[in-house]
Amino acid sequence: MFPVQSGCPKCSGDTTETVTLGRRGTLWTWTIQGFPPKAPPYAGDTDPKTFRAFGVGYVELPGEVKVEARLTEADPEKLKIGMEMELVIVPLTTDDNGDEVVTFAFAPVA
Amino acid sequence: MSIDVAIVGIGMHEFGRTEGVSGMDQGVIAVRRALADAGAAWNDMQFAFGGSMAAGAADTMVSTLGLTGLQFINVMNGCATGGSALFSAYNTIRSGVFDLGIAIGFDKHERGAFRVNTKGAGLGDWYGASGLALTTQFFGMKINRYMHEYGITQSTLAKVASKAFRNGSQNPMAWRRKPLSEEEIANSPMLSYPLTQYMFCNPGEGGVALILCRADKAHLYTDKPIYLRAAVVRSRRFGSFEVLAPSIALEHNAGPTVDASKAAFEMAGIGPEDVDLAQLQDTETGAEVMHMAENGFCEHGEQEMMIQAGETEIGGRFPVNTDGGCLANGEPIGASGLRQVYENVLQLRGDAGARQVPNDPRVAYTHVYGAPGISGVTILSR
Repeated sequence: MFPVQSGCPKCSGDTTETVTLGRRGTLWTWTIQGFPPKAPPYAGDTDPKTFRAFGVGYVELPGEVKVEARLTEADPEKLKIGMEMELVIVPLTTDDNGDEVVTFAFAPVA
Repeated sequence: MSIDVAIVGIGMHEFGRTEGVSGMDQGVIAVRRALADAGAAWNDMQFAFGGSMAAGAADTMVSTLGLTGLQFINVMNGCATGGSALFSAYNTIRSGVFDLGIAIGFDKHERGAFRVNTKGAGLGDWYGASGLALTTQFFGMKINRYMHEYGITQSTLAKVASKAFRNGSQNPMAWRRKPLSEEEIANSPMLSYPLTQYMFCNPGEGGVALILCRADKAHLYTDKPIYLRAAVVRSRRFGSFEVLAPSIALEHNAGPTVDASKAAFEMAGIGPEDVDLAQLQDTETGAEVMHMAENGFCEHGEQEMMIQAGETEIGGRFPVNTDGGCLANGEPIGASGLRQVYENVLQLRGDAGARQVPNDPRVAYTHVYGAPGISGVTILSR
């Protein structure tokens, strides 16, 4: 499961351990977020004038799990189910202290 | 032997936007209309189950309807709130505890896509903050994968919406009553690829109340009792692909709709081939397409031919969402599942007016689906 949780949704067991997931996988499905999400909860740009559409998808990490994430690509012509994807860190917003806040995303493997 | 249950009264407050009337008051109006339909009084009601997602605790409406001392239980179960109220009312009569009672659902939501409370859904704040946690994204991703696997086309997605607004135009209770062409639908702004603005329903307002009675006493209230043959609610199992899921297991499970549908058919002792019409959750047009197969009415992929041939139109072989569905009615969460049952009662009574399904339908089916991976199914018959 992602993220870490205390119980197992498959067997109802209460002992889980933390493992590091792989950084590469294949795109299982995707969409494009075409309008600004509501804030809160969204921490990124919600101004309709400057908002830029972003991709969202599930990446299948072989032998592990399908993880939901933002995608760095937002062009429907360039996203294909089954394509190779790789984990990257992308800027999301700047907090009240002026520090950059980042999040995880997947990018097509060039 | 358990006791048979009939629906003997139905009431609805118009769906859409009603300025100046609270969600709760829309529920009260629905109750009064249901009582009038059954020729019953509020103090005849022995029990009530009621709920809303965003418009308050249902039991407080007794201060307006009358302080009769009845057993009133609030139900809050996400998108299956109305279905859960109906399930509870059904089994209360079936078990012999009470003879006559009411299931109530109402709601009133803010404009725009649902704002998800990630903490309330058991998820971290990071999930919504990072731009995930939109129900619209799930629907886009589920149908995108489905189109890839089963060859459903963009034209079929537009046709479903066009049918919804055409049916809604025949429904005085519906919110969106203006027919839209497939071109207008396909060319509206792309909200969550491959779904455009007019392929999505909107959060809205409305209320529905249904009066249930043990079948052997139904004649006291109506000469057209409609029998509830099954009411089922199911949650998700490991491996299913659901709304608001930061991850999905690699192994595949078909999801709560398939489970709820199978259980409902088993309870009713009939199969999908016996159903004359259905109201299926159409949060967006892809959902209606996928739910046709998940509920057992066709094979995966067969929808493409069925919809292109007009088989799910009111005059078609298997009419779906005859009142315009969520697309034309909007989705006041607490009321939405009961709206489907209200429509099926009208259709089975032969009282659906301009949108009446021809040839005296005998069996009708409802299905709701929603967060966090829950489905509710009912089967009604004359």
